[in-house]
Amino acid sequence: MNFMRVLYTEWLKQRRGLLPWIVVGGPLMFAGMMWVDLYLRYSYLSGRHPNLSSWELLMQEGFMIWALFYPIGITLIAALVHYREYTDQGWKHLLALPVTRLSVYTAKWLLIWLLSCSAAGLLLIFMYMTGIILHFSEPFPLGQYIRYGINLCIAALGVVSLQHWLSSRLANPLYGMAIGFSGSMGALFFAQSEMMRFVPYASALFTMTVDNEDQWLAITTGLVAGPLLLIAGLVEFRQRDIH
Amino acid sequence: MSKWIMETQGLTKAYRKFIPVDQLQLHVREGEVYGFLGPNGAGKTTTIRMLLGLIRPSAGSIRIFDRELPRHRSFILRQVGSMVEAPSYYGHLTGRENLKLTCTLLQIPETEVDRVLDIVRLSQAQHKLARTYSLGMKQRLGIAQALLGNPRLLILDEPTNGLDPAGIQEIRELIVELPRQHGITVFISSHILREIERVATRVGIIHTGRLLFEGEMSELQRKGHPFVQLSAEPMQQTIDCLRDWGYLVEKADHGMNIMTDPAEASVINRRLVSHNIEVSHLSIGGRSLEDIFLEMTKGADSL
Repeated sequence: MNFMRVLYTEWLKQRRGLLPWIVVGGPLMFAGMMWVDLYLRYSYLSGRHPNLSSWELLMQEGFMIWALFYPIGITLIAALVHYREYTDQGWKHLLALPVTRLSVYTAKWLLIWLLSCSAAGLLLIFMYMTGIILHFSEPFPLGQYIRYGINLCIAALGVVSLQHWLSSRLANPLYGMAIGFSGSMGALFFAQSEMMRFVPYASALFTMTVDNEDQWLAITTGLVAGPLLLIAGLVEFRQRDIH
Repeated sequence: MSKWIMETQGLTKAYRKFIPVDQLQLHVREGEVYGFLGPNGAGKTTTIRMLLGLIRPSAGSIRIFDRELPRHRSFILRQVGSMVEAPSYYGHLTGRENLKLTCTLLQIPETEVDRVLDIVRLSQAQHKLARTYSLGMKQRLGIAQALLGNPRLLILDEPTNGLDPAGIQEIRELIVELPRQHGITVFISSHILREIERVATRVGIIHTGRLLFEGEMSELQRKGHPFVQLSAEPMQQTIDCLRDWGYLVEKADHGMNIMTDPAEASVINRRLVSHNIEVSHLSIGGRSLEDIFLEMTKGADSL
């Protein structure tokens, strides 16, 4: 109950802020880009991938850009959730109330993850709308897209835990964002290395459900790194002196 | 059951070699305004953060409402309102929305918002965004947040910081009213002696992390009790005479100070003249609270 109240107040704090715009605007912009891309190059792309349906083509064409921008979006969400506490000196007020640090830390984590999942969910909706606007003739492969959405949510776990802790630890949000952006930009290189492909920032690159045998990488990294980094961050947060 | 609503024993915070708070023994009674006084950097805020569970003490214990912190943290903090340094508020929300957030976390009805807005006289501005508030209004919003849930103990860290004289007066009146009208114990820190002098009934003076004095305000005022300043010739003979008559005499730059009731001045004068001692100066001296504080804190320059 205590946890739900903290989560509710965390959401209330974000009203009238940038956060809802990022969660809605990110996928919308991405879908817009996909629309332009397929509108202009549909014939060329379908010629290159004759075995793929239009819907699969849409996912195949867009997943890599999304995989790079998704961790950046999570970085921004985490930074904004914590930015409020630092700029408005909220930590000392919040943690001097009869709420546990466990509930505060996990509520913020859950909010960041839910917003990341919302962005992934909206991405699927906007991609569907893109296909409808482009008059794709094949039936929409709902299962394939839902699996892609689930993979994205699971892949987000590691990045959410990492960026959540960084943003809670570093008073200057720019530092946390710099690390998140660098990690996201390096994802392509991480993904090509046997060891480094388990770095959470690279996870989204393995989420696509069209001709991809490496989906287990996104799921494994998310399910292992997410909880582990969450617990490690929580342990540190509970010991932390609030100045 | 302890007679103290809040008590610390050997409270210490150490960061390697730096010890901002050292072996602090604080005793706060229910229903009083306790002034926690000390120059900037004396360790007041670190102490307050420890009292609120924001910082872990390196040693010592804290008991509030007869319970140990941090073991009974939730029970204690449910009855404590606080404002540490600058008030905390979310600038993009209105004053009322800020208070509603705290109500949700404290699990108290939203009707409380109106009550505290009335107390801090902020009802008119409740629907304005908090970032548009003046400094005094922000400070009052901070106090309103601290008052939510009818706390038994209010901990305020430098609540008049940065306010203009009118704002200071307003906050001061509010603080004095709280124990009288609402039965709230107030623990207030400040580096300004005059502030504490006007509101506090008991006082604790901290300097370089150590508690130099703790007691009633009147006890501190007695430390500055008046005395008789005297210049007379021959000086040694004067001192001998006064000591023979049972007076406590201290040599001073101008001659000597006689630690006695100023009403004795005329008697002393008559007796000295009758002993052919030439009295050239006789006046009443005394140390102000500020002098005492400065002496205690070894001339801290922040006053």
